Amino acid sequence: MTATPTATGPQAAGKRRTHPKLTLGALRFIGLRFGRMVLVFVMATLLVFSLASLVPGDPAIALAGEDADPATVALIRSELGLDRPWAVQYLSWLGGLLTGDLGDSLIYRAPVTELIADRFPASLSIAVSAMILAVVGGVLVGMLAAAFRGRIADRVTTVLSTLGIVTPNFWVGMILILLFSFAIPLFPAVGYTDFTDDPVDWLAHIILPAIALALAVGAELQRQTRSSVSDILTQDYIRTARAQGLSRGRVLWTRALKNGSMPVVTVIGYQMAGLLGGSVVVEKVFNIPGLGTLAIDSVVAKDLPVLQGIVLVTTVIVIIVNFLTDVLYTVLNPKVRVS
Amino acid sequence: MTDPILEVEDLRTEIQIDGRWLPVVDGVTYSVRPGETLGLVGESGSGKSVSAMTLMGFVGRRRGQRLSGHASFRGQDLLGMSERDLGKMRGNDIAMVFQEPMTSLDPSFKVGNQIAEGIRLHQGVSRDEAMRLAIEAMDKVRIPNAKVRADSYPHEFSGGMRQRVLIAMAIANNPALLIADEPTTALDVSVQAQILTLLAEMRDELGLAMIFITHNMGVVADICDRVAVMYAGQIIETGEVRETFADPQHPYTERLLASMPRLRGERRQLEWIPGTPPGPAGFAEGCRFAPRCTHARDVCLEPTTLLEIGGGRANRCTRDVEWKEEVAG
Amino acid sequence: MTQTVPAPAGATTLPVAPPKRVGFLRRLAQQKLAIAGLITLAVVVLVALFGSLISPYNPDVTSLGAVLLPPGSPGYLLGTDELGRDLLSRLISGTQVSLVAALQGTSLTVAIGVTLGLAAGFFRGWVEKVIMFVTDVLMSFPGILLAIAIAGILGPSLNNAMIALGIVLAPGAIRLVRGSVLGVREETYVEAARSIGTPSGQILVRHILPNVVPPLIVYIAILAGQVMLIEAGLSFIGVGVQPPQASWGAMLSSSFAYIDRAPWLAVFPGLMIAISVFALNLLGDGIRDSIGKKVTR
Repeated sequence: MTATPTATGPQAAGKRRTHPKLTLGALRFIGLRFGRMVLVFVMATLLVFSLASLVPGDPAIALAGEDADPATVALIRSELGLDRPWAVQYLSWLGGLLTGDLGDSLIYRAPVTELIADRFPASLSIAVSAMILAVVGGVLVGMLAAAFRGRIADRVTTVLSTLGIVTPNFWVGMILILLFSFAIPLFPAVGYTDFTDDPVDWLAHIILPAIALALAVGAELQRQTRSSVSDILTQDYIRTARAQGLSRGRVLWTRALKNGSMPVVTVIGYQMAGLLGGSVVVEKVFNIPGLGTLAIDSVVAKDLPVLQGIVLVTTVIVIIVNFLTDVLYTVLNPKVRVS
Repeated sequence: MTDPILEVEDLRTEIQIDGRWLPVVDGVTYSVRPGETLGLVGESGSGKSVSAMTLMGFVGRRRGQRLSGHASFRGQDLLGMSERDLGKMRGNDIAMVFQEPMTSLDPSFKVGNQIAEGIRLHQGVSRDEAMRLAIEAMDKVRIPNAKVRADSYPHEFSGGMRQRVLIAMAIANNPALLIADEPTTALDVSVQAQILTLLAEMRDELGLAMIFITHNMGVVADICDRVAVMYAGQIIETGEVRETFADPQHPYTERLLASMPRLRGERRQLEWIPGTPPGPAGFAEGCRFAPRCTHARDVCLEPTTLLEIGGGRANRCTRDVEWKEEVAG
Repeated sequence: MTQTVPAPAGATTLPVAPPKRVGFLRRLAQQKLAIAGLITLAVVVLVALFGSLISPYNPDVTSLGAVLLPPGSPGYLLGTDELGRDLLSRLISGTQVSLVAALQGTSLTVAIGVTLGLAAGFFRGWVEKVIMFVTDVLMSFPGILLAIAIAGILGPSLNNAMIALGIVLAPGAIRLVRGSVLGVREETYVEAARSIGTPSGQILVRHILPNVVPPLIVYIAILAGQVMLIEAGLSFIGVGVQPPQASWGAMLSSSFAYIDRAPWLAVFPGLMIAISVFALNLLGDGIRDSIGKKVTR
């Protein structure tokens, strides 16, 4: 533990604080992580920008048409700024980025930022709902599996959880549509309504895609929780709590949960990348007007700026979430909290 | 002569391994009177901890575990008691302190809160009152600056201090019986004496009955009134400490006493018992100590029973008095 | 199989049976689930190899008179699709496509992962720093999205999709391999080999690789499953397998439009994917459990 201004040990009589305080070491760690985050961000922008160089052929020709005369092609090229050196192109793109300008869509002729902002709420609704479902479901089931380890409940949940991991989430979506939109007409199959327009309808539209998306993440969380809580239940301090007279249930839902929550919380954070990725295809299945369908459409239409924009935005989200998870881990760790 | 507060008779705990039922505790009989301290002695693997855990209801009640025999606390049957009732007794009427103080406290909760939780559970008082009582308990176990320290996390305490906290936790609800399972083994020698003294003081102040589980005969001589010696899952001798130490009735007890290093008296070579104690899969049919006993005879191949030999003593050795005559002057 | 009796919280350890010395293959054979997975996988591979022999129809043959027939219809065990093609035959031919794709993607990922992972773990220094940094950056990208982007930009084709997949999944492999290498590097026998002047190449092959291989094999099994799932997604969207070829994922794409009228078209291909990935996972878990703890930390 690093040096702190406050005295430590049994002699630190009146200096004890009642709220947690970050040690210098923790702050330094967070600072380093932040620096790293910035570096990762810059590198990510570089990679996203270089996606454009993957395009086979000359983009100017692609736009102008195969039989256009060289003059037109050259004009288009200079219009798009493609005649500048690569580094300059990158830096100017990056500059635009930092001011919120991601370029214009080749198809829609509208700023990419606008398109993304427009599609964002739908994707956010589904991603957040899916995460909530995954966490609640996964953690609950994981804890039960840990409590009944080795017994039937545990084996059953392990099988179910494995099923969650091996099924393609878009296929699950299709099956859900089959069961709950056609066989039992409970929910609409496709489409989306804004929350502000009609909350109930909004819920009806997002529930199936959220479930489809939540399955894989929830299954992973279930495994992690089960493993972590199982391990905690073998600890000596659990034995002490039981010797005090606390029931198994109480020990599980207070002590085990508190001690086990930390690794689980960090897993949640790191699952974000997978969740965002998985949502792309699921959106397509349910025809949700979110970033995922926009990405797919832009791939088909070869609308590069839009594609780059979406990849960048989602990656930045993941980078930030990862950073916050790192910070949360540091803050939650009681050994680091108090001096 | 008051009635015993705890009576254990022929307790047997079996664990199922690879289809076989192995008796980890097998024929344990002893009793504890109010205010009395019983030393439960034996080597590692003798089953002493398991027998205590069985009484508390932590062993013997799951799949792959079973128990038989009798154990009653204040007349109530412990072995047949429901989990709910056991929960009401634990930390309340019967408390237990374990061996590893470093890992026995929850790292995520403040120490005062952990003690107070047990108080609230059994005494039903308010949070503030429970905390006040928790601090009082910490005072009783001589933790300096209890009020402030109650607000600290376990990792801020040394090993000895943590054990004090655990003892505070155990006595917080004024139990009638305290089971201490090797409470000093994991501590530094200098701290060991402190904790032992503390336990003795608690016992005297609160009138606690105590079962002190240890492998150290010296400790038994120090603070125990009676002693029960365990070997290979069985009690092989019980009796009052002074009497038993002066005149052990079982060869194993005699060997244990002989192997105690002595600081005073004439210098002699350190004695030990050759061989190692058997595991439950390898228990002999007859006397389980016979393979290592210098006094073993054919009769020792017969199954043994723990016989009361009068004067509050019991002995399992089939060759009872005979073997003593063989011991060289 | 646990070694210790499940003891109550932190209790004294209860006695255990002495561990038996059993070889890896024997232990694997004892893992019933892993065997089930292996057998399933073997069946799938056999179908991929010899499927055309047992296929009742030519999978590409259309029959406008037998459109959208349900399973159990005479002559069509699993029904037909919107063009009258037999579903069972299509599934069988799809097996080959799906497996080849999975193989491609997995090999590429492993190739990149092992090369860079070994380099990072063995050479350390700035080589390691650079590789791990790029790995971290790549892992910040939402996997499937990046794969779609790369595959889409390169041009929709199975090969491009697998290249994209390789890039996206390689970081995981790199981390694993590097971790294994690091785990072994610290071992004294590597130090000893170094100190007597054993050339790096030999150290690599003789000491480090044997430690890297077992967890890698487990990883490959799980990875293959991941590749299958992602390939299915890519093909579903249209940037993976291209018609007239059809992997199971691609079949799901066209089946979606008819999901209310012909659910079997969606159920069976997806089921095939799930079963295959499940088998791979079981196998991977089984191998992991049979390896024993002495390999790597």
